[in-house]
Amino acid sequence: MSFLRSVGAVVLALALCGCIEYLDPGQSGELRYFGEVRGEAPLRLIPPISDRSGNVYVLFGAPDQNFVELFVGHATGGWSSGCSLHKGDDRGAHGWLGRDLDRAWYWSGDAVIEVSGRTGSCRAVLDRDPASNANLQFQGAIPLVRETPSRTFFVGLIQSPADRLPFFVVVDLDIQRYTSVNVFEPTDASNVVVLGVGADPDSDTGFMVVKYEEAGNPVVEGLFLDLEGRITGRATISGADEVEEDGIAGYLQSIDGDIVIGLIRATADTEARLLVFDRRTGNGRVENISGILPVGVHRFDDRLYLVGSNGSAPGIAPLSRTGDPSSALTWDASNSYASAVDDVVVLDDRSDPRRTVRWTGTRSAIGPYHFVSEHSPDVYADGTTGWLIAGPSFTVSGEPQTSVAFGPVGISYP
Amino acid sequence: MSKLATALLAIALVTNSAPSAWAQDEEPTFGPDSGSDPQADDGDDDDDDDVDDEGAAADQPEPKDDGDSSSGTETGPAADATITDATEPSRELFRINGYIQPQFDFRYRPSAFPRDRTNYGASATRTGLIMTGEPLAKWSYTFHVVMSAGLLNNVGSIEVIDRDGDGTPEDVAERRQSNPGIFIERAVVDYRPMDSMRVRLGQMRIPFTIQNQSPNFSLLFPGRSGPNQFFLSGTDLGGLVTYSHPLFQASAGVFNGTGADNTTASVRGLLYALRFDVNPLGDFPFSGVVNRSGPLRVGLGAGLLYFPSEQFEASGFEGINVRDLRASLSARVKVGGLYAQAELLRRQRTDNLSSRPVIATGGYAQGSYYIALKTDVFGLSPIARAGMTVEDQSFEPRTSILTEAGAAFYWHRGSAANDTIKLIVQYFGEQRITEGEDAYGLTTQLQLQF
Repeated sequence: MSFLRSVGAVVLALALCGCIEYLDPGQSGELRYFGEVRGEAPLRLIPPISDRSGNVYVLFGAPDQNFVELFVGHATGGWSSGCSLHKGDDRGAHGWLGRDLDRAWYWSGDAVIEVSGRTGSCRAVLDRDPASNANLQFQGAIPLVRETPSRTFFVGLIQSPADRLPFFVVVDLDIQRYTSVNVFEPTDASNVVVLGVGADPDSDTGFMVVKYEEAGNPVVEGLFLDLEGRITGRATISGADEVEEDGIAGYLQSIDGDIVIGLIRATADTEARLLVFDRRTGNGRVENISGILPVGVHRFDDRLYLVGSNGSAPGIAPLSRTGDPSSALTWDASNSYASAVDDVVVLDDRSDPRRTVRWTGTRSAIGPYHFVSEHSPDVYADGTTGWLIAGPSFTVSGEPQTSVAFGPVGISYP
Repeated sequence: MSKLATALLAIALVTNSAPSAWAQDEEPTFGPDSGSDPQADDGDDDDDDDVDDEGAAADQPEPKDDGDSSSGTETGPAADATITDATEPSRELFRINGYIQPQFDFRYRPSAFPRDRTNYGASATRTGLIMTGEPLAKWSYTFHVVMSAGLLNNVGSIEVIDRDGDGTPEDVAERRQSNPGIFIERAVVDYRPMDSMRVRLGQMRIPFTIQNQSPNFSLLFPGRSGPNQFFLSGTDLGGLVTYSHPLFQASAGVFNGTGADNTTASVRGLLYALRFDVNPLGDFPFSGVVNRSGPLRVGLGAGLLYFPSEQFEASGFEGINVRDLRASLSARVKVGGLYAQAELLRRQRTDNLSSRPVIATGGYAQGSYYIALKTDVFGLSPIARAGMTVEDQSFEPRTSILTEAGAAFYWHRGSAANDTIKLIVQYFGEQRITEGEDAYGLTTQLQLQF
């Protein structure tokens, strides 16, 4: 019977010849239960990333939390967990930098961590200088990992306790060394801190908003970097002097490599604001936002969007190329997905044999609504992203814990 | 290696009932048959091909399957249109032939580190030994093995790295080394219940494409096209039934799908293979040596591989179900000394867990023109090939373009169907469009058949 089924499948394949069906917007794929994290939804989770082999990586962490916990879902099933590498007490998790065939890298605190999708193991990248053994801190890391036949690398801003200024370097992730060292400029700067980073993979350009002091005066600049860590453009940003280190939500986004847009996170004293800077004019600005409670800036299909809520529903406002938001719309794909997973069967493949559990009343594990997060959802497949849903919560030793599952979901932006 | 060769030769001398036939045989019995190509992975590490579990490509002449038109040799010795052996005077219990392929490569990759920017030198010389025989009427066998000093690239030693001397290792460093290896290109038993049909069992190359039906030793180029190798490389274990007719040929087979023994593998399933070729203008063998002259011929073909499998966890419990479908379309044409072929390839792999299909598309076109410099003695063929592969189309598409051009020089022995010596000088270019890296090179391969 199985033989006949196989023959029938062959004939069907011949007839269909190339038809592949992807998930529709809001349609859920197989949900995989990977464990519990501390807290209640919305949880301190960063949108997951996947590598080319199909392994998925989930990072429990937040910018204001100085510890992380990592979960790795293997492409053929099963999960690994236990990695909690982080460096520094003053900074939290920044996000994923990139992936290759079967590895992914995240930046947490002052460390960049490599994770193996095949084994689930992790290690710090350039924790110490290979030559001097000095403790290295990643002040900044461009979220653009380039994988080529010759090398796999990214651009970082590193500094050791003995350095007055940080250095832009190209970090080779295969040989664990850095090259193309460029000292931060201007060389009379001091107290350099990074407010936010981003990248445009189409133009191979990295972005970094830095704040430093020059002659006692604060300066906020948007920097444009090439793949060799060289500064190819600068833009002076006015109105951002009070923004603290890592004050930009998620990553900076751009669709042309010249105009960069980001969201300054709300604080106790200020509301969230839009940050825009332009390489061609050398200027940047900070603007107030109305019509939406913003959470992050997303990029999808060569367009940028401001995502958030109107207080009771997920909202999304397309951004023009120059960073001007349109009227906020209700994000239908988010609502569709919420309906699709409200009562759902989840696969528990943490151990063998696999089993299923039923969850009802699930919520988005990240942000107030599904897909509404500081970070732009990762491209998991064509029109598909990987997302996290929060299941049942319970209390352990007085601390709330929430079950979380990963699943592919069709996504669309208006 | 030398002990093995000596032992084989000793067996041949003891068991061969007509040793004089070797001396009298002016044509090496290299039959058209799909073989693996040790250099088929153009631009990539040849050693990796040879140790691939699916079987490395090795340019190896196949023993002459008289009348076996299912074998595809682009420039091999003459092969009959059918698998009927009309010329065999008597059955040979054992015959041994072979070839030696020294090769020199030059590679330049401008974006690489200075250490890796330029590579040049002699590649590991490959030696192929082919043993054939027909112990019973309608029953024959072929054993084709490739040996090379650099087939295997293993970890020779590891060293723990403790930079701060606190007793806690921070890293490990491995030291790799090339080791001699043996690769079985083909080990099959053939049964011919009738002249136009053959049943083959054992380890062989799956006739999925034109190039997979061509032995490595008889390819126009030092290796198979990059797109071909991307979609299917190496050999597999199973059975194949082939029916041949002057106007068409059809093959159907069942294989393990993993290229390895499946008794203890964690991947379980059967790979179903289909191949159909039609020659509307008349007999059009795959053998390249036959196609160096003659009237206009056109060949159209299609291949299909379907591999449903279940991947079990290390614990022994069920894992994921995978459906792997690969399809090929091919076209060939020849007139006089001109020969050209093109193939289009597609792969779609889905599973019941990820919701991420693996999709790849590729294709290539190649051509040659045979010029008889001295009839039945020397020949020359300018050759050219271009190919493209797009992988990970559903996730993060990556495009590569390959271009090759050069010339092959032949020194025949007795007839133009026998390439005793073949010298190929070929330019190679690889453009990794998505990754933004290029590579260029030159390959010189000498092949001596015996």
